[in-house]
Amino acid sequence: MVQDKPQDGIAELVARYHRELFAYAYRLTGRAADAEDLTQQTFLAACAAYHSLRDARCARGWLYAILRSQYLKQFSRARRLVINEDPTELEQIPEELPYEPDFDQELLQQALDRLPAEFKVVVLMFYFEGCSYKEIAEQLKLPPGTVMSRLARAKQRLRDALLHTGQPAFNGSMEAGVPQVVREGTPHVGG
Amino acid sequence: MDDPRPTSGPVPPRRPSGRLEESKGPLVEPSAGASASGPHEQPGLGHLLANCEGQELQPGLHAALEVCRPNTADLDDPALAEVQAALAADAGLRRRLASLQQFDQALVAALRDVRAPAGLEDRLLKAVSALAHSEGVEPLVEVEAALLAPSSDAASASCVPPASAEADHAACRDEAGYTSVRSGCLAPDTVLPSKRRAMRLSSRPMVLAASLVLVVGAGLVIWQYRRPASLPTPQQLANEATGQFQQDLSEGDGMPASKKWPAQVPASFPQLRLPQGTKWRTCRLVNVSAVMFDVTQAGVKGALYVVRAREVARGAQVPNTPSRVVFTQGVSRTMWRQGDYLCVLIVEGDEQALRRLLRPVPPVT
Repeated sequence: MVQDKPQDGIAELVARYHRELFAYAYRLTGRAADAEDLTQQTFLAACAAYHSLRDARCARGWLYAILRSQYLKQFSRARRLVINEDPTELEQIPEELPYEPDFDQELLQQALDRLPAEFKVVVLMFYFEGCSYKEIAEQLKLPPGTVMSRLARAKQRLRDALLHTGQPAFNGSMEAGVPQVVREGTPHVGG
Repeated sequence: MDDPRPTSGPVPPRRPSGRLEESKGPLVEPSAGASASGPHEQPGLGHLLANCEGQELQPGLHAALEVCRPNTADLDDPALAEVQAALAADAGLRRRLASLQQFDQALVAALRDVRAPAGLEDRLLKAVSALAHSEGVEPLVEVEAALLAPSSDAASASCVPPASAEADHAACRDEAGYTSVRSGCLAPDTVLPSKRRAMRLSSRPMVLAASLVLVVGAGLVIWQYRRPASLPTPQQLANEATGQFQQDLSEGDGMPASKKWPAQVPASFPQLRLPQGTKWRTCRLVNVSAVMFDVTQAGVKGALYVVRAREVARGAQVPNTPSRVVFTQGVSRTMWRQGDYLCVLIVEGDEQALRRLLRPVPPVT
């Protein structure tokens, strides 16, 4: 049930979703300060437009949509990198992927930051929101083929960055035949 | 509440948080090794992807493989029927897909492994509360909300729940797996952006109001300075009146036809000797509306032009009496101000002819 008072309703949404929205914002922006700004803008915009939320069950997707749009509006102009337009090939999928990867968060974020905003949004909708490519296409008003292509290329880029950077990409165990690498000087936190 | 872990300083990456489970996708079959010994004992995904090289695939198959999420019915999509057929016929492809999906699952966990800074919830609530209690801020945020999406994201940004069933499904997705954000990657450069933002928001109406005042003030100043510049000077009016008068003389027409006293001028001109039934007509002098009286008397042609003083540029000193007479091009003219009006008297002939139309100025006592 949607609260009558926007403030009450948004307070409930803040309590429930602020962590994951912040994480999403952080993955999009790459900076905690920007992520917090973006999260706050999202909730403020949601508060102002709260009357348009008719079904509380849709609040999560609604908030994500607001956040995405805020991001595209504010941050997408900051970095405009051209991603490789070459078609991806099946052979580009690594033959051996680590079974138990432990991604270096720094490398992961760097890889995300290198993606153009349009690609980053698509790949995060897929990974973070769990959207299908059709849902992404519908929400972003893009042709499904475009989303499929962007998604494949962005995922390929992420994998390349994480697996073939020449820098240690993993902290955990690797496959047989692949040396186990631990980043020197990088403290670990028990999980 | 937020995790009390310190929020400043660099963020250490995390160690592995757990072993991945086998993909359970409907068309994804684990490798022989995996199914025989289980995930903990299998030699690795490299074996899963063996024997896939060299096979010829339909264009776009790779992209289709990439968009198949684990543990979903994505492959049931009719648009991916070719992929489904290819997977059914090729065990190597199935292993490759399984490898991709396992990798994706690990990546999902890593991507969500971001911890919110301490106090974020409180700051957000304060910002929302400030917004709710600030009438001046809300419309601005509404505008922001309305302008959320620059282009393709417009529909989703309109804050209206998605219209289609599929989009509804996406928006109302089960939250399992999303709500718990494990402690882990702490965003590195945590500052207090929310306070910053709150200050920006609260000061925005003030800034807008100040900007509005500045704009209005600047507009007034510009208007004040531009207005005189766009208005004719008394000298310009007099010259224009002289030109018109001479033209009327040469053409012999254009003289006034109306006898009824015009309402837009003074009821009388004490400085002039105007006969009864003086005719007049309206005219324009340098784009200023004027009234011209035919003051022809005793065979001496003359005209009086009257304009509103407010339509004349300020600055030039105009006497209150017709004291100064200018003779030029065979006509004499004099100019004076009477209340809110500017009068220009032009007479054919010299100053003496003009003086005959003027009432004598009473001596100063």
